[in-house]
Amino acid sequence: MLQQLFFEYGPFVIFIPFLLSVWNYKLYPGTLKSITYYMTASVFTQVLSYILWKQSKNNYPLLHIYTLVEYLVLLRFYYSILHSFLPKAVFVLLATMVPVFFVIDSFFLESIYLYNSYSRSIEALIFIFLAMSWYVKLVSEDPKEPALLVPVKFINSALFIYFSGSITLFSFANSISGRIAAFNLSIWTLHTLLAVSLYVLITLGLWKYRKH
Amino acid sequence: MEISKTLTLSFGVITGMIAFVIIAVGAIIIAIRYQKRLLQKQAELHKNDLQHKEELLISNIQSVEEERRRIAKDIHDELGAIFSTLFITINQLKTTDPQNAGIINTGKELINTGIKSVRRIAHSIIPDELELFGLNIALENYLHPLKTSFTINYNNTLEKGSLSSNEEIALYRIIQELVSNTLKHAVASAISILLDKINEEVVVNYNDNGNGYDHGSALKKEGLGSKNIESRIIAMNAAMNIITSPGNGFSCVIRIPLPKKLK
Repeated sequence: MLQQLFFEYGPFVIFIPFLLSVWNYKLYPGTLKSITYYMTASVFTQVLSYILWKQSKNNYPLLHIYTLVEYLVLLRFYYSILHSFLPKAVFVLLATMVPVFFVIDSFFLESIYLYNSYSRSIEALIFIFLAMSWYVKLVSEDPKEPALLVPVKFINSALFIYFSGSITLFSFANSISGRIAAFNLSIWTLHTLLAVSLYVLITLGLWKYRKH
Repeated sequence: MEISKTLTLSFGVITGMIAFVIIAVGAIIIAIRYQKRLLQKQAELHKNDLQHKEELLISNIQSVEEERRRIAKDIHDELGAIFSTLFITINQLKTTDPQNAGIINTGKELINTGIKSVRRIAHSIIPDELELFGLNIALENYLHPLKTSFTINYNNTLEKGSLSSNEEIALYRIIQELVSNTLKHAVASAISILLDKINEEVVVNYNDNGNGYDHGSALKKEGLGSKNIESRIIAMNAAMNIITSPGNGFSCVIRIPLPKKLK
């Protein structure tokens, strides 16, 4: 019962970083504005998918669209913090080839009514790579914008933990779906736990910037 | 068979999720700790660098003072002795010729002027009363001739020995520089210099009623005099606060921490 409640309502923690990021939007530099866009896209998707789920309608097409939007918005975030560290060609490649693959995946590889395992897994891999690159940058360079250091540390850690924890699930989501309900619920509750920690850490990051 | 496969897969997924989270958290902790250690090292290097620069500055100031002392001593002792011997030698000359007697007298007067010049030059390089009697007497002697043209308010309530001899020299030079600036640029009629011990610090209040200046723009084109003051302030681990603006005179407060033994 408690697990069910957490699974169903836990993701709504997202409203905290969403409201915080919207409230302080004007104060933010470009890097944190990307997080506001990310939160906005996530809240919108969260609410819509919850409504569809309640109406027993398939909400996977929404996830396919969300994956593309989330990817582009987070790529913008990483571009703003890593453009001086990684070659520009990496970002050009990531901004062009990967979205094209996502579209191909949605239309030709995996059904739009099923979990987009390939896209989600590739997305997770890319963000794990970018998050790790930021840590390498952290220990090899002096921070150019000290005001952003702590918020980005929190946000990057949030994304790193979330995508690292979720990549296995993203990869096997279709294989395990609908087999054993109890296990399904446990796995997706674990995912909810990761999502909640993602939102909590993002909130802390945004709060640290607000305090600054 | 199918259920067993699904169970294995589900276990695998859960284990994978937990394992990756643990790895990610571990990596974050390692990266942040490493970065903290790097920052600590950088701060330490920066601190050592500052300390080294401060030591260089102090040694530079000390060697300049030492050199001044040596030059003043050489001028006073050697040239002074030559003039004195010359005076005694000329004094031994006997003549009945009034023209020669006049030349001898002129020579004696020139020698006396020379002796006075030597004393004045040696004194201006390093006042001996600073070493013999301390800062208070040295400052009184320095300010005394100015009293004919300026209203000087000088008050020193410091006990003798409050400052080390190096600090006394540094403070003397700073006040000399401040007074010199007032005389050169301020068009002032009054100077006030107050030295006092407040809590654990020696506090120097320097004021003049001159023109004052725009401190902000003056900071950009600091002269040698200001740099000398700044160097001595750093060497004493002291702090200086200047308040001035056009038409409002010049005010400066210097705070020198007292030596530990007096605290």
